Amino acid sequence: MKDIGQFKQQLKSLFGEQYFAVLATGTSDQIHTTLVAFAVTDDLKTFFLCTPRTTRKYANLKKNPTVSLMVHNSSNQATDVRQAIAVTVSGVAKEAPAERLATARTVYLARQPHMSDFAHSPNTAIIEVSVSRYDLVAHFQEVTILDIHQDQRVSQ
Amino acid sequence: MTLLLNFAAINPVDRHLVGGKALALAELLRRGILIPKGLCLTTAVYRDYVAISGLATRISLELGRQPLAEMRWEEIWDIALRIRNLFLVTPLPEDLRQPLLTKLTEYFGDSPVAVRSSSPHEDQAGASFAGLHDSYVNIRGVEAILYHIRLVWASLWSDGALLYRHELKLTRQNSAMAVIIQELVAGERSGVAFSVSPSNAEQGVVEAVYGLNQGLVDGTISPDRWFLDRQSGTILSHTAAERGQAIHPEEGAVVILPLSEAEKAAPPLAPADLQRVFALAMNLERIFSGPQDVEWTIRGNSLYVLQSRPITTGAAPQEDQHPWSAADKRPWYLSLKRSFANLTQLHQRIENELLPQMAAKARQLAKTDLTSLANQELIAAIKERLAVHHHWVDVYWRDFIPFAHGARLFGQIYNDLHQPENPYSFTDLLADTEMTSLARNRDLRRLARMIRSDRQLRDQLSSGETHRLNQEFSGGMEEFLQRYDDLTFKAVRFFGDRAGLIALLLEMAGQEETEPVLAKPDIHTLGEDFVSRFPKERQDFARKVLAIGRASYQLRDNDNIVLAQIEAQLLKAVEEARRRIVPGLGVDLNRLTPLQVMAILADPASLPAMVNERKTIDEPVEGQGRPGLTPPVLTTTDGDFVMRARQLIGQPAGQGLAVGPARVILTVEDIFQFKAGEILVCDSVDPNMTFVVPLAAAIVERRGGMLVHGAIIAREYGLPCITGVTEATSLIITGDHLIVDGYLGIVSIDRGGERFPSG
Repeated sequence: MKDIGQFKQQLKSLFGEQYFAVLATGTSDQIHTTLVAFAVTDDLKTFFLCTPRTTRKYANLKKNPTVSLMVHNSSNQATDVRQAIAVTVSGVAKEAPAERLATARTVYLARQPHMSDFAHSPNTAIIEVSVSRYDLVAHFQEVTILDIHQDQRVSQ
Repeated sequence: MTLLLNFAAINPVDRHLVGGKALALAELLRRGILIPKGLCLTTAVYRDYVAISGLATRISLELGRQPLAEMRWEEIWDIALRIRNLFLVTPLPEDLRQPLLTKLTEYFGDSPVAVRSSSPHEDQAGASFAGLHDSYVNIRGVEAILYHIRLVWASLWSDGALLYRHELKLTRQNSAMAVIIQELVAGERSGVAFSVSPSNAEQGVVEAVYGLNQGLVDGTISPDRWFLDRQSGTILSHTAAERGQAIHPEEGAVVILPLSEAEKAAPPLAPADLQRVFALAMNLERIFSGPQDVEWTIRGNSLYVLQSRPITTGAAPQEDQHPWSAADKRPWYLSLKRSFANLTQLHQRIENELLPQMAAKARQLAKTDLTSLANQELIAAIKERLAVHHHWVDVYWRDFIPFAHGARLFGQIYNDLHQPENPYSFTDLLADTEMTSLARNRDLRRLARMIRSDRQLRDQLSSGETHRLNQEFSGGMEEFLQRYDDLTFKAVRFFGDRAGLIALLLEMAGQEETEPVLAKPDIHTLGEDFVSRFPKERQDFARKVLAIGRASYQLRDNDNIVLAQIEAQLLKAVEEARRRIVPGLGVDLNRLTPLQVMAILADPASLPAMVNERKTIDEPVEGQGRPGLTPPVLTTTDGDFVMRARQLIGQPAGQGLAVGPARVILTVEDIFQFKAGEILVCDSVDPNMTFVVPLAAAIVERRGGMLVHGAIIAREYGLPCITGVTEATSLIITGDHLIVDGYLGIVSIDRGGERFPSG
């Protein structure tokens, strides 16, 4: 196992390589997953993604802000089972409030510049996910957890 | 696709297709130098084989299990064994097999051949290693050739190759192996020649033996050796070997035969032949533009080159350093793979000389009444014991460790013969050997049984009463303590404090007796079956290999126990010295090294200067003792972030599933606090501490390998066991709720009770 510095660096490298994550939202009776383009802040505490307000995921997270994201580097090879890494991100999602909207959009577009039209569309909500925990799976079954202490997190 | 190439058809640009060795042979042929006739099977065939059969993916999965950089040699050996077994059980696809069958039959018929590795990355100038891949001689018949081609391919992933993977640029995607198949020249005299001596740049060296040079290369037969002046070819010195034996081909294998009286009396090379061989080496140096290491053989009047490669540049360990403590331990690991002949000699020496000598020395030292010695005498006794301990630790590394790996030689021979699905099934033939530790564990169980059946005794012991105990029990305790007084763990004597032993016995008495559960196969029948699968003339060899396997398996336990007896004698003398040092010096005497204790005993005023000085070189007990690993220190917090392990992985070494609280063993006290149903988490299961195993629900061990002690004893008791969990002792803490999955090698840690219910 790496120490925490190396571990965080591993997460940053993965998030730097991957453009997409699978977002899971849910209501009490149904889980819903979608592929989303994402960006993450340098301190690893916040994920940003965009969605039209007419989508099921948007409706879901308004009802239940608890979400999970999966980011992985599997390349659809049989050997990925040992060689790929996958990170499950757990957190709470909400639409970025007006005072943080500009910053959120900047961080998001720095990573996803081709999504500019989408991000600026009036019907698009920029969602910020405040991360509480990362679960990283490597070598098939080696699982390491990174908790972010709730009480010390930047208040939203 | 080109399957096979004649040497004459190989061009210098073909290295990626034919490897370094074949390229060099082709060059020799072009220059008119005599080489045995043969063909090269190209790397393209290897690539097709691993792609079509699915082996490529399976190799990747093996290699991706855990980072190789974090593995001990034993674990890398295990990976190599498993990969080798994959090659053994994966036949050539028919599309490859048929054309090869036809061509090889046409070319070689039933002539004996050598099947040799030719890796594109090996043998390039500057390489600091050689012999990482396998070659086989005296293979007869096309089916046998095809089988040995697979073995040579497998050696692309040998433990040695994996150790030198960076230098070899070894990757699953890019690496491939070519194979040379050459007619066997049954040389009457063979050897090696160095155009430049490794010890003197003005000189060259020729070594020669009778028969094949295999015995010389693997160290079984010592050669005659000549040093010659490079310029003039003048012989500067000749060291005659004690000539007695030679290796010859026989019935699809090679055998060691005695030399005739005439051969014993004369060097293998007459002066004229010596000059021919040396001139050849010098010629090859010119051809390949650099000093060469040449393997040659002479049959009749013909001098053949078997191979020529740049002289390897491996750095020799410093003079005062043992190979096992060098910074780069890879040469030492490679040296642990011994030949059958070498292991036979080592076996004799260990059984007949070393172990009895070590035990006798421990007994002799134990006779001294340390309390009756004057201070100066006690200091002399510590000095002597330090030296004695140091000596036996060296012997342990030099002789015992290599011999303990003899089980691996047996495993390889067994797997080659049976090609089993489970590459570790050979351990069934080794189990049930009588280990010293099992006898000790039986004695402990006997004492526990007395407590279990005597309520009064149990109550007395539970309340801390040590007098007026029933006589049978106190007698048994005395006898036990006398017999096992010398047991140590991490340089502390186990039974220095009896309370710990009694706590352990009470815990054992509280449980139903656990016997080893392994449904033991009849190892006699298994052994006979193993031997009977060899042709008649090879059965004696098979018996001897089995005997070596069993002896080496047993030694892994017994040598540690006898070495601990030596260690205990040193510790007793140091304890006596500590007892004499006036208290109140303001320092924890238990933290002082033996040398420091001696110095303070001689002169209490010397204390201040050394309180912070802890030179490991002075600490044979702690620093130079039996192999162990220091747990890595990991930073796990950073501001708001806290990292923790949820699942750790290792090698599944004992099947089964267990749930329970962890007991992490860092000190002797941890062992005595062991409670039934706990999961034993430790650096390694030391043979001296196996008595807690029957109480454990499972074993998690930081040291890796299928043949390490923990794995052996876990299988004996039918316990789930995982070895090679790199940070087991630093990431798991006593009391953590664990799930041990011994089928898959996964340890799950549930610290907050969030995922699975406790109990």
